[in-house]
Amino acid sequence: MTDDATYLDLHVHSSDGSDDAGGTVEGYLKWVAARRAHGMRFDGFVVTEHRHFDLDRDYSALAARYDAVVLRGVEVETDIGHVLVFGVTPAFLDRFDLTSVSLPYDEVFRVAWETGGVAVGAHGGRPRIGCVEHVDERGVTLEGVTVVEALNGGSNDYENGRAFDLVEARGLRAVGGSDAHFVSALGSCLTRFDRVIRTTDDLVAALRDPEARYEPMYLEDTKDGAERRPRPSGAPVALPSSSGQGSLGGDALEYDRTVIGREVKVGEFEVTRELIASFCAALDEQNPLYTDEAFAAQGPYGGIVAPPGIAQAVRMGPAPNPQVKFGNNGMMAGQRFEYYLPARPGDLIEGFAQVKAVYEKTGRSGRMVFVERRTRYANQHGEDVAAVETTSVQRETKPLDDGGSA
Amino acid sequence: MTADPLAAQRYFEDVSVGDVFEQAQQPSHAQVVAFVNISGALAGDGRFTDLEKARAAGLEKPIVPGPMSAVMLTRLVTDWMGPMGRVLSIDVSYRRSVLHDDLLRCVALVTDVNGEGDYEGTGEGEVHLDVALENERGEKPVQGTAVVAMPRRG
Repeated sequence: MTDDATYLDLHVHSSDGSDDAGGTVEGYLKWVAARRAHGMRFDGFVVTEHRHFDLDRDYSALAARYDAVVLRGVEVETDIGHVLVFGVTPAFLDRFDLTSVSLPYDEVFRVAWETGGVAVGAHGGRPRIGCVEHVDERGVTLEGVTVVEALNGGSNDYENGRAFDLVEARGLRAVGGSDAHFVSALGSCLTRFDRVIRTTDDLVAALRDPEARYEPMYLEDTKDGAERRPRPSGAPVALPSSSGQGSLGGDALEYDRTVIGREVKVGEFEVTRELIASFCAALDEQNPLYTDEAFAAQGPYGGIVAPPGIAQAVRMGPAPNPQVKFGNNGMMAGQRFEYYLPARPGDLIEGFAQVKAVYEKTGRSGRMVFVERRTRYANQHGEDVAAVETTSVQRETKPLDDGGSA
Repeated sequence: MTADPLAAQRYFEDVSVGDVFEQAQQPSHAQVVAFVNISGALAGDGRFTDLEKARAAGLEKPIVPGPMSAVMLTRLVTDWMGPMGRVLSIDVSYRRSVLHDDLLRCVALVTDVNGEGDYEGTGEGEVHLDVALENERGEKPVQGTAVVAMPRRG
């Protein structure tokens, strides 16, 4: 490390502040160390949680233990998509309700600049939540926008290519970030600065300086002697998708708040050998712990057990419903499975469900409302065997025309 | 199946950060139908099995139910660790749709091994993995983490 260059991942979510992230800051730091051990240049990252900035949080002591840089920014949601803000100050936070999913972008960029920070258009090529589509479809002028994240680890090549096209056409600057929600994605895309950056002030000064030299890169290409991959193409490709349909923001969210936190029994089922067999057949599951009596008798449980996840295939009654007044199309957004005890043939499992939370955000299909539920599964001895937390999302979608392109 | 229950066992001492384990899966229409019909829990939802209903919901093709993707990743983990390992938790995020017949790389990657290696006094070691389904379009429609307890060689 003889030059002054700094390699920073500018876009990272952690489980400290982003409900959809599984990576911890310390887990990310261990990954930085592991990537360095593989010869990659990687100085640190900026934690940019969704719609939330905690002024009191500080990762510098933790980062120092790993000889790395960990800075903080925020990813907010605006009427031209998501925006990263670096150099967040109380003055900036006073001006906006960060939980809003359709902040006026021009205000966000202007206030960020006036309060000594800088805003960056996030994942520019992503449908709905990147700025490219809003420029193409609505002629948005990108008032005050100087920097766009053109290389984003959560976008596909086509989406990134479109962002590079916009950057070149408009004379903007490009940066890179992984948009990591999980450890192994950290740094996949990052930004190389031609100067030393150790603090948020250093970072903001570089991004505000039209003369500063910085560029997006792939982490793999930071290895000594690595050949730089060309930037991805924005030429249209046929990708099956259901993106880019909904609008951003809208009316205040209406739902029944009285169901939150109330647990109700939603059903029961018996674990049978037939149920286990049909589950394994549908998944081509051949693990002898679940399929082979003789083997399983010699194994850790002394007999066949159900595969983890079998409750996923079993019908339960309807869970409590907060009656969200939005969306015509429900999907699952995420699930967390916790396993405590094995379930055996003959066990009678009861399910108990509750709604934990209701909230909204924006994604590639526009506005989305999320409902978080937790279902606890208990056996006939009253022991919890498993729990599943399911986050479902409500969206507004339109039918595809017949003969539409795939 | 092998007669020795521990032949496929992986031990805590053999695991390091960066280890990768992969499986291929290609959930077919027939497999999805079988999955949703196990108990009928998802059978009423035509988006999983019916092209017309999928398109009416704004989807290009019928999709693989989220829970089926989750159990593919769970199976990846249980296959990787062997019969004496225990899944403690799996956390997945459904970020894009998985379509019928998508050729999927199921990838597990070790991100942390607990140095103390004594999960709740059992003598097992705690291992953290990132898990993901990757499709042929270069996307990771389902991503998540798993925490498992693995036996030591003793």
